[in-house]
Amino acid sequence: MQTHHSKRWPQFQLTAFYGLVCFLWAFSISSTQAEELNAEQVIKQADERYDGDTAIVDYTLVLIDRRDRQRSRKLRMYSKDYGKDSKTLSQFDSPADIRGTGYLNFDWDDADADDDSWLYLPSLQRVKRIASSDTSDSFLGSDFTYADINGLEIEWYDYTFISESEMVDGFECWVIEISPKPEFKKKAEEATGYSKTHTWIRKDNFLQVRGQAWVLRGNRIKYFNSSEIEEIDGIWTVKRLQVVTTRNDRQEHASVLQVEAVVYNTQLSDDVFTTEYMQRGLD
Amino acid sequence: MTSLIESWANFIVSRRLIVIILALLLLPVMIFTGSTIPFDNTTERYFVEGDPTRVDFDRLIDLFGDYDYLIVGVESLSDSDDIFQAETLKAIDAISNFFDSHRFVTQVRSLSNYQYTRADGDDLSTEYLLEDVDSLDNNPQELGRIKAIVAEEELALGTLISPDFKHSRITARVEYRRDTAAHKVALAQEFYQFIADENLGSANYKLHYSGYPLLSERFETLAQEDLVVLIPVMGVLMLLMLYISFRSVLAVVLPSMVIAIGVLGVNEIQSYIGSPHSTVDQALLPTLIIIGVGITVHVMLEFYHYLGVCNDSKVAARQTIIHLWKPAFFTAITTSAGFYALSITKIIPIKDFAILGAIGPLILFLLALSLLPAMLSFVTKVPARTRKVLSVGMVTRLTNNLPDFTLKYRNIILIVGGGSLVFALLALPQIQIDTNYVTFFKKNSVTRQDIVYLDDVFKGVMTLDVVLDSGEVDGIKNPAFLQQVEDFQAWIEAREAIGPVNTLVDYLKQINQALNQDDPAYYRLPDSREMTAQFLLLYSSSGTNEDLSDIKDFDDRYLRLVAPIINMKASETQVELQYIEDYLQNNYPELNAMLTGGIILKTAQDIYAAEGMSRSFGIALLVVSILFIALFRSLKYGILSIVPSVLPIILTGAIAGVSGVYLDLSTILIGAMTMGIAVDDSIHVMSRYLSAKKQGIATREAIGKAMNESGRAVVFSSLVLVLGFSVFSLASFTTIIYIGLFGSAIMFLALLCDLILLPALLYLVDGA
Repeated sequence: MQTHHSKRWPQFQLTAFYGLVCFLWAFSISSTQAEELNAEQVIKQADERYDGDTAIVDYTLVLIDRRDRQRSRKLRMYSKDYGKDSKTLSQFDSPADIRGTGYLNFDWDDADADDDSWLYLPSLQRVKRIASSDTSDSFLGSDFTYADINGLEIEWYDYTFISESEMVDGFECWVIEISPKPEFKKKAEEATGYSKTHTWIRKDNFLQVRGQAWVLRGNRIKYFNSSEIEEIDGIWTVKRLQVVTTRNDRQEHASVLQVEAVVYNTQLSDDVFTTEYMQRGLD
Repeated sequence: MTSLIESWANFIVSRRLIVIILALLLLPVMIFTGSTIPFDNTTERYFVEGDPTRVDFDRLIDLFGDYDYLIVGVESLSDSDDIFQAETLKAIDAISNFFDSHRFVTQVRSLSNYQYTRADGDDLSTEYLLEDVDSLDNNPQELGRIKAIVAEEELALGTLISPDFKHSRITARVEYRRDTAAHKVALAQEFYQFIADENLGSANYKLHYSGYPLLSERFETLAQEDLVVLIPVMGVLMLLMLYISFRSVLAVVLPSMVIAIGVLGVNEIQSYIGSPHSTVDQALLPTLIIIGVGITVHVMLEFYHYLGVCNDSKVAARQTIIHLWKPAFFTAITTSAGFYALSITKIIPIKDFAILGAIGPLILFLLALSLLPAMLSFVTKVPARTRKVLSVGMVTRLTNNLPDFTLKYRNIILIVGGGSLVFALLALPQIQIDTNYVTFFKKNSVTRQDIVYLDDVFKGVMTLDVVLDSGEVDGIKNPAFLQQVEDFQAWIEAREAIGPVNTLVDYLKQINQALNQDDPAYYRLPDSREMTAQFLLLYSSSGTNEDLSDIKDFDDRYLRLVAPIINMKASETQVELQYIEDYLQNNYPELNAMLTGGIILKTAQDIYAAEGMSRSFGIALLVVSILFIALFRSLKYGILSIVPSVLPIILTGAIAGVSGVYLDLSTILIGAMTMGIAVDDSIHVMSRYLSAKKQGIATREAIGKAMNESGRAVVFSSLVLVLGFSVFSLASFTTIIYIGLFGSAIMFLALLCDLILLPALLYLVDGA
């Protein structure tokens, strides 16, 4: 069993491509210990969670517009950790016109290395490498950004308690403000597109249950909310994550990641994370 | 009727203190209560719910959200051949960044945030055209590279940069909010402030701004600035007129109180019914001030006349009411009817204007025949200076001489009058009803010059929205549908009046080319539904900041073409739009095209206004004629009194028509509105004449009596109207200026007709 991402703090952990859903009691802490932690330690504790070495997740990505109209896409995601690096393959199952479209991503732990991404388009029967260095971009047209999914550098930020005790759905939480250190401000803003974020972390299991992010552009605020939290194969799993993007306090659009099925720590061949495998399409 | 009037008169005089106290209590109530009336000149507000044009527009908003764009044109530096200079690109970048971070802007398109997609082997990259503007200083190589890229970008050419590279355009898509433009005003003002703070508006950069959001701001700001000027100037002028007429402070103060309460009362009603201000009702309060002065002058003159005769103020006040009630009531009713006739229009601000305009004269009548005589009943004697000016003043001499003058020259007068009527009737068909929103602004105004610039370079600041329906969810991915869109797009872009259009077709072709090693042969549509869907998915995942939400709907069923359209007169625009609509119906019936957007709303507004004009004028004429016939209980005299009021209006209209001045949304109000006001003087003259005739007095003497009794008031009130309307020439909008010019001309001609033509007609029908 290994922990990973000692340096990377997923903005909203359960959305991590490689570990869409992973929360686990890495170690137990008494409430007294919990009370003594400072904000940065809380974040690190939450970050040092085991989220499985591999995962196969079937999920639905629901895109919602300002009038609450919805469109759904079904995907299967394979992820595998390689030390502190991780590889992820996502394949679309529906709608029919994008079935088989694949997205392969190598997420390097090295802060200075850009991720590697490839897209496979069945209609062209061709794999294209995408030079996507801007992690603040939208992920597959949803409200999530690549940074929300792949996380950010813990060392770039300052952490302060907004509240050391706030109840969310009956659970006591810390509320922490995460703002970039002055020397990393530009980098952090470029990487996330946010000026600052607030996060709600449950004291009993260090699980993030809420988030709020201030978007640099256009007076937008994004609200994250996780629900349907279950323990699967010993790993705490958030099965539903919603993000609502608001502009001037009105919903602009929203996205929901709904986990349909998840299998952790199954044997996954390295061949899965290749462009050749992606081209073979869905089973 | 007579007993009612007598009871009224008795009540007012006997309970004069109560009347005064009650009325004066109203004043602070009206000043301190009621909410501030907002300004709402949004185009959609002009339409009633359920109007087909409005329904289509709401559908556009529902499908695509924010629909209008603020436009900034940037010219190349005077010593440069193109905009590819560090200084210019930095300015474009700064302006784009301002919009990008602005809370009311939802999307920015400019060279600064333009992204191009390039293939390098199997790599596909989306890059910003301007990565780092600070690196452009003294870097001709980088500037040259940027220029070379732009030259290849179909999506940028014509829309973000002119084909000669001398002009660049930035568009900011502005948040849509129903029934308010307040946020657009805030955006525009913050933008102006930004330009000033950054010193971007300096001679170096030559910026031009326009687009509907900015025009909204201009309309709103200028309209409010105008009100701040027009109402005080009108007020002061009216006070001056009252003073010149009576040379007495009291004769200024008392009518002013009556008018103030009346005008504030109408304002209170407007606030109560929740009708926002617009450019249409700009003329309302100043017009009511003029009408108020007109009626109070009649009351004052009548009172002084009786006070001079009987020397008892209470009796004089009572007599004033009894003598003036009926003609004043009828003048109020006819003025009111004139305004109310405008309410048949489908355009809401004109409807509201009509209702408030109809209420105003009635309130002023009530106050002028209650509060004013109640206050006057405390005035014990005619001030010496007032007596002097009333007895030997120029106006008095004029009215004394008129009966003989008109008798002597009656044939010439009738020939001139008849000739004018014939000319007016012949020239009437030449009256053009049209609108060109550009001409709302004066020729030397920056707003107008900027519209002309953007018209020249980027073919327009207004846009036509064509919504094409594929008929099913995800239908826009169908290659056959896309092919039709491409064909139609090519056709519409070739129209002289239409500027370059970017649609989903362009984006798909660009992606296709990039996916095929930038081979220009692949600058074409995808072959299959799947390919389109995957291109779109690729596009949304490739780091672009465009979400295409303004050119395709959420369900991928509809496409939107945003076509810039050059500024034309409404009639020409209508022809162009009809042509496009017919073409779509004949050639692409299966696209179920819907034409909507700002330009369609504007054009529909003009059509409705034109439809309403002749009808409202006709209704006003009919109502006034019926009232006249009822008032004078005679068909003959009823029709005779109409002539001096109608002739000036149709004559003014005819002159405007012959000289090529067209009537627009605001100026068409003038016909029905002025008829109601112009007939007032005819009523006063004719009612006095008939009452003299009833007493068996001969025509010449009856005319003399009518002139003597009402002539002064007619001249005073007409001069008030002529001068009052002329104050509108201080306005910022040409339409309001035209209302002033037409109003003044009509009132002046009406005065001539009442004093000269009407007596001549009476000599004709009743014998000299």
